[in-house]
Amino acid sequence: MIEKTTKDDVSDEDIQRIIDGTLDPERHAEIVARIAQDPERLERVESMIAHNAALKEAAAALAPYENDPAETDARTRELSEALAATLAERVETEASARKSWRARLAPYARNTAAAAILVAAGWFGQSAYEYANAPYPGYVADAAGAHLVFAEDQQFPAEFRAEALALAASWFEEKMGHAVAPPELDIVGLQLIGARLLGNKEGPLAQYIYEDEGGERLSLVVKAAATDRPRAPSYRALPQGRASYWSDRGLEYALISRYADRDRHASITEVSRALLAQRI
Amino acid sequence: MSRQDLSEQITGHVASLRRYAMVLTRKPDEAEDLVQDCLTRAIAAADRWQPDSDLRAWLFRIMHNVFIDNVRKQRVRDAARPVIAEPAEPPAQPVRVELRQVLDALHALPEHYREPIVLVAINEMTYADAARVIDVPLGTFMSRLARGREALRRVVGGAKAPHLRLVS
Repeated sequence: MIEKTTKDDVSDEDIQRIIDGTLDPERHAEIVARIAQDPERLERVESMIAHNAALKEAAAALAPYENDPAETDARTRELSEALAATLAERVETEASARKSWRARLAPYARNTAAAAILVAAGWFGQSAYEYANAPYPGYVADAAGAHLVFAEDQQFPAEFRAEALALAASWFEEKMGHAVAPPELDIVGLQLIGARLLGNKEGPLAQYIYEDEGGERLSLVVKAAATDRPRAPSYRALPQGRASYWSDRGLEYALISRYADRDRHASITEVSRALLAQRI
Repeated sequence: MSRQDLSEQITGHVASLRRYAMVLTRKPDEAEDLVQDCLTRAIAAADRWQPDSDLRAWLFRIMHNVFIDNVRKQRVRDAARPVIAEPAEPPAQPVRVELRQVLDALHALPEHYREPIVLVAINEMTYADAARVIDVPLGTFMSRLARGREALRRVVGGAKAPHLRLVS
């Protein structure tokens, strides 16, 4: 509720709009005339107008480089680009989801009643439902185990230290039959500190170990996928930490962290995906 | 909306977010951290963004949450620390003395007064949009804005702020 400041029909909102200059001219003149009857009140309002103007001026003085991208912080710029890429992907996914709905409905379009029944029965939702209820794939469990065993070991975290990663890349490629370039995650505050080649019953796994500014470790595990079908990330809470996993262009990925902050894990996942798909 | 369009829009919004953060915190490093936290959270929350919704309002809502979280964390840190007056910070950028007085006074206000004042002044948001950013009903927003501005006036108090005449 907006209170009346006095009995003279001048509301708090009128005063605020006078300060912001958003009243139409007629109303503005009317309110100012009423306020002016009380010199003390007039002065109060004038001070508030001046303070508001001072804040605007101070903001401009404090952030003088805002129109010059070259002067803005490099990490902010990279994060902005990562956000643009992620949102662009989102726009595309939404558009193609709408398109695919139409495409899937097309055969039934002659018989709208049939289409309605299929929708009502959840036929379209079935795959999503199964997916959400599936336990996570075996390699994700292996990745989580490998993270606990190797990534958090402070002494011998890697077979390949950061300086030998080029060697690791060619070795992994030979073993996995796929080129794997680990993403540079410095825009989300992570440094690649080592790598290790592991295996499970499905074949070799490459584990990349990252460390953040606080010394917290993260593992990105990569393996060859059975199909080329891309899959959007799924998130799981683990007994110790978090996992996200996805597939893209013939490779499957799992990211394991022990972050309490779900958003931090999710943003690293999105940035990793964008970098791996060379969208940023 | 193409990637290029989004990128340009975001660059503009980041400039507004930075201005907002600068006035709220008065410290460039802290402001940049707030902006980066906001962007990081936005990336994480991208799947909750509706492509036809207002991107600027969405980013400002995230920024508001980041700011409030930081204020809470700061309170915990302050409570854990023995009470020692912090030395006055040198001005981050050369700002006229009367502007700094207003900024310092703003900083003395509780954040639920500070944010409405800054959202409206710096970003020229409508009251309704600003109320949505901080997630309160419009009436609550208007009353915080009015009380906040009145409180700011009292804190600036005798300081010789620039004077602006409404009637001559």
